[in-house]
Amino acid sequence: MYYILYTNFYSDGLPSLEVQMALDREWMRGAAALAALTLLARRPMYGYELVEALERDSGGILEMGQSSLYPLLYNLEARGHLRSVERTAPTGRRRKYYELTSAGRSWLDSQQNQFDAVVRALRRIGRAASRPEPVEER
Amino acid sequence: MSRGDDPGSSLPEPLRRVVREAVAASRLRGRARDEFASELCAHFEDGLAAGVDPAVLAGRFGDPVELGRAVAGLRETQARQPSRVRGMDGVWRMVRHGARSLARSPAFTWSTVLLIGLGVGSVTLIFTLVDHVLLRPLPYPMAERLFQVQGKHASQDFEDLHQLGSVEAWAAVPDVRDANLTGVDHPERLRQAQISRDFFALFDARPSLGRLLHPDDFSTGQGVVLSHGTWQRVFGGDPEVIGHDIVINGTAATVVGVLDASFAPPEALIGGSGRTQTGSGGAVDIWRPIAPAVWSPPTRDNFFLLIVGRLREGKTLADLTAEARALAAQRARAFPDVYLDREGAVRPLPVVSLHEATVGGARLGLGLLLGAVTLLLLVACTNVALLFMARGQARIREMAVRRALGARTATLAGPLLSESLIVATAGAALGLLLAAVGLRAALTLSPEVLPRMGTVAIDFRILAFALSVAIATALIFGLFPALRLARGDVATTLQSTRGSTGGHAANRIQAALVVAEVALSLVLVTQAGSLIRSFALLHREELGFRTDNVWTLPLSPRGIAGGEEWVRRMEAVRASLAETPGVRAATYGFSMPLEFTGGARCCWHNHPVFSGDEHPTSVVMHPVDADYFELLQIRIVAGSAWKRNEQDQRPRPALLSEGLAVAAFGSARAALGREMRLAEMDFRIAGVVAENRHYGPDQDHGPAVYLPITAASGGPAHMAVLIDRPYTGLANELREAVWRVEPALPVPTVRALEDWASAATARSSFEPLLFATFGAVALVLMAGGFGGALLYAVGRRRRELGVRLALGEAPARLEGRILLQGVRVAALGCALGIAGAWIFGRLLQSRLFGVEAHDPATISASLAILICVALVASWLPARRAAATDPMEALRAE
Repeated sequence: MYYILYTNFYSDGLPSLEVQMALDREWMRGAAALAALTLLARRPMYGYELVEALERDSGGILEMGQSSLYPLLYNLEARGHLRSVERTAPTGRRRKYYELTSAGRSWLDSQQNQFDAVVRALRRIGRAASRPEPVEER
Repeated sequence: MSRGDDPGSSLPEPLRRVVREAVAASRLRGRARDEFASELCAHFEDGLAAGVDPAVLAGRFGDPVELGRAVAGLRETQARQPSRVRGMDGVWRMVRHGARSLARSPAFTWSTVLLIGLGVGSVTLIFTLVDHVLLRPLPYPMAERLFQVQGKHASQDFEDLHQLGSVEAWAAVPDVRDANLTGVDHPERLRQAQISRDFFALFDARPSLGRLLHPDDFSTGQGVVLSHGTWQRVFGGDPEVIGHDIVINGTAATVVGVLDASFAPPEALIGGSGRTQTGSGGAVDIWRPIAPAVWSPPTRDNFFLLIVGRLREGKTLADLTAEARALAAQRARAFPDVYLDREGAVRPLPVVSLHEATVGGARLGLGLLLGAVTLLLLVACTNVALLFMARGQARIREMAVRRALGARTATLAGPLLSESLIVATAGAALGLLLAAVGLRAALTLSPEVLPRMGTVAIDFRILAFALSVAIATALIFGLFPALRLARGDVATTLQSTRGSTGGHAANRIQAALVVAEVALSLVLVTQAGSLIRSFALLHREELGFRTDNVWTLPLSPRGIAGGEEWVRRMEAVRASLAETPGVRAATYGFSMPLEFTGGARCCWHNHPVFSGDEHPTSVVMHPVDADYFELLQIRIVAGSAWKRNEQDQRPRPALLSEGLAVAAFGSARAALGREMRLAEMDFRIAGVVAENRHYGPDQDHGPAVYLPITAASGGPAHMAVLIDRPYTGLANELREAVWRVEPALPVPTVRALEDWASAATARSSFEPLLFATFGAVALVLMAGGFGGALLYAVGRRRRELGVRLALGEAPARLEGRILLQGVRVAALGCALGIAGAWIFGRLLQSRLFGVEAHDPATISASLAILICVALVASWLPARRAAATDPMEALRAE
C-alpha cells in the first residue's frame, strides 16, 4: 500500500489519491520535509499558503498539525535547503516567502532518487512474492 | 508597537492567545521573537481572510506550546552548529557553550586542566633546561667552529699546535687562580684568569671602558682588565681607575680597561668542574696576560694550559683530529720521554667541540630527566585521554540520537571541539605557571648543578610544543564520540550503547591506556625509588669528621716565601683566632673538608716509596697542623697524631689513610713506625686515620698521607675554628682576628662547615628530588586515571551488575570481583613496567651511589606501591558496584 502511495506522490501530475489514511509518525517525519521542498520547488510560498497546498495536494495524507510546519521550515532554512525573503503577497500584505536554494534542490533530487530506489525494490519484492514458489522436482 | 509586545492585537482573542503561548514557549528574544510572532499572526490573518472560523483555525493549528518548544530546541541546535556560525560572534558563542557544558561537570574539568597543567608544566621546565644547556649554541661568533684540545698542555704544545692548517685562531688559559688584591680599604681575594694573546678576540669580548689587552701588555705582563662586576663591586664603578696601578699578589699592575657586562667567559675554560668553593666563586674578577716567562723559553713537561681554537671555514673536527694525530705521532718520535707513557702509547691531542666540552657532563643527567618527564607527560596524556573517553562514552548515546535527527558530524563535533580547546588552554596556562615556579625552585635549589644556568628562562617554543601535545590529546580523545559516530552507523551505536558493554574498540583502547599508564608509572616510581635510596645512603654515609660548630676561613697568603717565616706568621694567625671570644680551638691546613666537591682535588699528589718500593698509586698529600685531627674529630685507628713539638723531628711524623695503610702493609697496626719517602722527604708513620669524605659525601677520598704543615709551608693556609656556639658578628670577629696579625691578608669567606656540607649535598639532591616529584605525581595521576576508568566501567556495566545482584550474587563477592579486575589490569601494567624499568635503569646506573639500578628490593617496593595504589583506586568503584540497586539499574536501562 505504502509504495503505491509514494509512487503517486512523486509522479509529476500529483493526481488526487483515492486512498485515505493516516501516516505513521516516522513516515510523516521524512515525507513532510520532502513534500514541502517539492511544493516550494514549483514556486516560493508563505506559511499559510504552504499549509493549504500540502493539505490540498496530498489529498489529506500529508495533513499535519499546522504548527508543525513552522519548525520544519526553520530547520530546513537552518540546514541551507531554504531561504526566506519578505515580499508583498497578491493580497497586498507583506509576507515571509520561503524559496528553495540550489543546495536544497540537489538535496531534494538525491532524496527523491533514494525513495525511488526504495520503492522499486519494494515493488520487486511485491512481485516476487505474488509468483508461485518453484517446486523442486525429484 | 511591535508584535512582540502585544502579539496579534488585531486578531480575535483565542488566536491571540495561541500566538502568545507559542512565542512565550519559544523563549525567543528581540528581533527573532518579533519575526516569529509576525509570522504566526500573518498565518492567522491569512486564515481569517480565507474565511475560516477563528475556532477552527485555532483547532487546526495544534498545540502552541509544543510549537514554541520545537522552535526553542531548533535555536539551541543551531547555536551548536559550527558550520552555521560566522566570525567572532560564532566562535564566542561556541566558546560560551563549551564553557557552560564544562561548568556542568566541574570534576571532569578540574581534573583535566590539572593533568594537562602538570604534564605541560613539567615538560616545559625540563625541555627549557635541556634546550638552554644542551642545544643552544654558545654565545660567541662562529661558535660552531670553536673546539678545545682536551686535557692540560705545556707551553711548547701550544706553540706546536700552531702548525695545524685546519685552525685559524688559538687561545690558551692556565687554571683560574685566586689572587690577593691589597692596597685597598680591605684586602680582597680575587679570581684571576691569565690569557693568551687571541683569547678576547676569539670570544668576541669588548671593553665597556678603556681597552682590552694589547700586544705590549703580553710582552710586559703588566696590564689588567677588570670584569664589569669587579669594577662595580671593588672600585665602585669609578672610571678614574683606568690607568692606575693596583697591587695583585704583592706586585703592581696597571688597569687598562673594564670588560663589557655582557661578556660570558667560556665555562669549559673558566670556572668549569674544577671550581672551588673558596669564596669568590666561579666568576673571573681580573684578566691578565699569561706571564711572559711562560713563553721564554716554552717548556714541554709542565702541563698547565687549557687550549682552545677556531676551525677555518669548511674544516671539520675530523680534519683537525687527523692533523692532531699526525702531530702527536711526530712529537712522540722526536721527544719519546715526554710524549710516550710508560706503556709506550703516544700522548694524544684529543679535540672536542667547545660546546661538547662545556655541556657534555650534563648530557646524561638532563637526558634522564627528559626521559622521566616524557614518561610523565605520557601518563598525563593517557589520563586526559581516559577522562575524555569516559565522558565521550557517556555522551555517545545522546549524540547518536541527535545524529538520527539529522545533525551532521561537524555539528556534533563543534561543542566537543570547543570544550577540548578550553580545557587545553586552561591546562597550558596552569602548565606555564607551574614551569615558571619550578624553574625558580630549580635555580634556587641548586644554581650550579648545571652549566650555562645563568640566563635560563622559560622558552615559549617549548611551551608551544608541550601545549600542542596536550591539545592533540584533548582533541583526538575529546572528539572520540563524534568520530565514532562518523565511522559507524547510528543504529548500531544506539543499540550498542543501550547494552551493558559499550563499544568494544573503545573498551580495548581504554584498557590499553590504563595498562600503559600503570607501566609508565612503575618505570618512574622505580627510578625515583633507586635515586631516593641512593640519596638516603649518601646521607647516612659518615663524613668521618665533625661539621657542627666548626667555621672555616680559607686564607691564601701570598708574597711570603715558605719556610720558617711562613710557619711563624700562620701560627700567629692561628693563635689570634684561638684567642677570639667564643673560640675553643683553631687549626689549619692546605685544605679543609668539603671545599672541593666537584671533580677538583687539592692539592698535591705524589707516589710514596715504602721500604724502597714505589707505591703504584699516587696519594693525596694533606699538609696539616698538629691539632687538625682533634679539632675535626677525625678518628685515628692506630697510633696517634703528632704533637706540635714533634712536627719538625727527622724523619718527620706522618699519618696514612686506613686504605693506604692496609694496601701497603696489610693492616693499620703493621704500618706504625714504618718509614716512607714522599716528595723527596723522609717520614715515619706515626698513625693511621679512618677514611673520611673530604671531597664530599658521594666521593671516595682515595689513598692519602697527612704530613706536618711545616714540611710543606708556603701554600694555602685554610683555617678552621671550633666555637662554643655561633653568634651575630662572629664572622667579623674572626676576620678582625686575622687582620690583627696579618692586615694585608684577604679573608674571602667565613662560613660554617655545615654550610659547606649542605652545599655539597645540594648537588646530589637535585636529581632525586626531581625524580621523586615526578614519581609522586605519576602515582597520583595513575590512581586518578585508574580509579576513573574503573568507575566508568562499573557505571557502564550497571545493568549487568544489577542482574547479577538480582540473581542473588553477594555484594561482597561483586566487590571482590571488581577489585580483582583492577589488580589484574595493574599486574599486566606492572609486567610491562618492569621491562621498562630494566631498560631505563641501565641508563641511571652511573647516577646511583651504593645501590644497583636493578635492585630487587627497590623494584619489589615499587611494585608493592603500585599494586596498593591500584587497590585503593579500585576500592571506590568496587564499593559503588556492590551498592548497585538491582531494580533501579534495570529500570534505568
